[in-house]
Amino acid sequence: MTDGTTTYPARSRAHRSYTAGQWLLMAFGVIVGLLGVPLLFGGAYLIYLGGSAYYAIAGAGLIAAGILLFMGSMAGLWIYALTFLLSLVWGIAEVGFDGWALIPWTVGPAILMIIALLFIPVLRSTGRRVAQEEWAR
Amino acid sequence: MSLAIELRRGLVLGAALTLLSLPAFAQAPSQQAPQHQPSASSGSDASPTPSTGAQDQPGADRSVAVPASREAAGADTPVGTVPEHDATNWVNYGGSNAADHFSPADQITPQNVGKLEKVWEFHTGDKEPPADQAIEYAFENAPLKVGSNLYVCTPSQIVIDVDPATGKEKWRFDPKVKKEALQNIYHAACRGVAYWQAPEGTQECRTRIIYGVSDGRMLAIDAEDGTPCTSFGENGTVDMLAGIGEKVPGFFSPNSAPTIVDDVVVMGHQVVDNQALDAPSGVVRGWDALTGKMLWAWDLDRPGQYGPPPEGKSFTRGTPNVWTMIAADKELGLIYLPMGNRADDYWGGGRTEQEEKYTASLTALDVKTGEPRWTFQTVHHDIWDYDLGSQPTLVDWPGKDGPVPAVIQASKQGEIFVLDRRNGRPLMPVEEKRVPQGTSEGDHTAPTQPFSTAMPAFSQDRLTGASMWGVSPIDQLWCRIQFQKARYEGTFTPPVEGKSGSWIEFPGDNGGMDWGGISYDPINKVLVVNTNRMPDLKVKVPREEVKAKPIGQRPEGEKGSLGGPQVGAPFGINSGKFLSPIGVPCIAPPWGYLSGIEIPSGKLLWKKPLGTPADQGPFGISSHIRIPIGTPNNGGSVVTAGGVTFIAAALDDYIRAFDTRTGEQLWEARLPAGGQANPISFTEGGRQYIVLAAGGHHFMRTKLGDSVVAYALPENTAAATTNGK
Repeated sequence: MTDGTTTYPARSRAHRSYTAGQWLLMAFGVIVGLLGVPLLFGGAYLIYLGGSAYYAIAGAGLIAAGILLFMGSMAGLWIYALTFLLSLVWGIAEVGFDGWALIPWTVGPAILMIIALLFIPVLRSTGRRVAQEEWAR
Repeated sequence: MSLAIELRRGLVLGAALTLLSLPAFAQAPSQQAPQHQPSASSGSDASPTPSTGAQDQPGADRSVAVPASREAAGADTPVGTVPEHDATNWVNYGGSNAADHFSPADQITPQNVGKLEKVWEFHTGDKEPPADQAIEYAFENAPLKVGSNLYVCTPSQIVIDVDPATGKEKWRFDPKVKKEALQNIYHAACRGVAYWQAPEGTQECRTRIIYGVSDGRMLAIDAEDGTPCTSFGENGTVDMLAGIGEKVPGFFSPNSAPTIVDDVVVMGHQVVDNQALDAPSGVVRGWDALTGKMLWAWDLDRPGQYGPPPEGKSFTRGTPNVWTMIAADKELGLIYLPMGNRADDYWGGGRTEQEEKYTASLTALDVKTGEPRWTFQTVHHDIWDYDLGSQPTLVDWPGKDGPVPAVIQASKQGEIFVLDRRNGRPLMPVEEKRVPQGTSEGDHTAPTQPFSTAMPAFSQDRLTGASMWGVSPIDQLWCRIQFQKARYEGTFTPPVEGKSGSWIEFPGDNGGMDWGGISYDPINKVLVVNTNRMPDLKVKVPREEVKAKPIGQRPEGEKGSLGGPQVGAPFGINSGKFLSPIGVPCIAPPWGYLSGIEIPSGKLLWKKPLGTPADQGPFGISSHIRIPIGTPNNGGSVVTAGGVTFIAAALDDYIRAFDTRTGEQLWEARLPAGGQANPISFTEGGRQYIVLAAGGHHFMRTKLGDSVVAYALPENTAAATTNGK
């Protein structure tokens, strides 16, 4: 990798001031990533015990999404969206359209999905700014 | 965990979330449903035998001794009575000795029930003591109503006579139950008392309240003014611990209403669960209601002997007991005992032949002699704590050639057995089905268990990994890991031991059905049943890792906590509801139902989730959400001749009315505290009342209080209804 690739924003932070939206986005990225940790490790243990693979996959998705969101990358939103879709599909496959039974599969993930969508403007501006800084070099 | 909380907090933002967070009755201290059991014996200290002329020989003629004592008490004739149960009264815990929880009062109907209003609220003043006293309360009382008296019994077993029309106190009697006993029991409760009319000419206490208290006494007080009946026992007290052996306060603790039939007071008692094999005997005894003399004792491991234990011995230690209410049929002269298990519920090794025979059985005894007439086992070799908690319900079962005297027994494992109460033979088919096998070394599993296949079964759906639930994927995952680690092979999954040592017991040991019993409306021929749908997660703890001390040996700081040391068994027990660390059930709701069953077809007429999460929510904050998701429940229902069923029982503080035929909810009212008790109904002064003890329940974690509330139609409506007849 050379300067100007995806590692760049991290470095550029040192001499950059953040907007409130970017701070919130980074905090959100941390939360999403941390939520993924118990899912990944607990989920791996569950696979070892012979249980469902969903939690480990979802945990990996959350961690990846969290890191990318922290970095201000739109890819984080896409990865979260895919994880969210996976939750819906997996949940319906396991319990059908039973509203109560679907709660763990839908409510928390949907709240995170909505918050993630609210960050689209921040992600867009962050993305532009990163691009501009890269170009300026 | 902090992550889970974080996520949970996020979820709380969405109203939907609060819904789910039912921290329900989080951790009941390593135990749950009220139960008890006994164990094998060592005739340790031989307490003085009851001051009775009772004989060791079965069939010995007692008619000589009894009249003599009765004369001493000043009775002209030897016959007393329990008043007939009619629209104006409620004379046994379950209404009458038939325990059908049915009131012939018919003023309240599906059409007018919406107009019900609270007409009085009485505060007993008996509130749970501060936490440092380590006494936990459960106001499980179903009052009695006889004449113009309503007899309430509070958790510390104070009896209060309340005016049924006004809610004003007339008198109270405080037995001053030993504090140590209340600390040592699972929770302080008084399910009820019994009422008896002495024969004409009796010099004192013409009418009596007779009941047992948790420190091992049976008391008789004058039903008119609450003064002790001095001619009963010794100054109104019978020492129930006579013949029991070692006296650990609370280990032996009567707290269910006695049943009186043919002048015989019949009572069992609770024995605290899972403490030690060497526990108080489960002996069931009959006493003369006039004198308090013991007439017979059914000590099941001494078959053929019905008197006090031999000199220097105690009643057989640790045998299956009867901790709940007993039903009786005066005409047949039989009492119906819903039996529990031997001490140390989860260890079946070394049980005697008699213990195996009677564990978790419905057993009929001759009320005059205590001799067993028949027995029907609801669980073979019970190692799940599926003791019978429901009072048996006696009904006229519609048969081809007219009504058959039947007894209906609901069980914790979700089965409803229907038997001919003359002989114990099933009226609805009972099939023996193969069940999962294999348990601890030194113990065994019964190859089959009985299922009442023509009646609906409750809470026996098969769980899978996909059944695991939570408010978020994280607590759901926690539940799923526990599920994967635990042994589970469906209903009757045997207890296991080993590294994880856990198994899932579903239904859990609070049922299915428990002490609230079931109700039968003989007019509409509908059986009303409230059930729990909650699994338990139980762990066998290897002996060397057991830290819990048995009752009587717990240090001061651990007062009030009951572990499951199971002294005498190869392992201890850690038993709890299957909940996530944030207190949410590990399976999706509904966690509780109210159902109506058509008799005699056994057809399920309706089944509705009972209760909302209104008074539960994250961090102890009430969610105020009023959707009936079906919560765990304790307590029972009352059915009335007007075709209306009343029940509280659920985790939200409401009493509700349902159409008995359809299950449609017709009315509800806010309670001042949790309603984990059985409502009763009666008319007084031409007005029908619904009365309920609403004082909350410690392990259900409902709001505590000290209220008794009464509902009735507004005076003008009541009058109009009455005139219209």
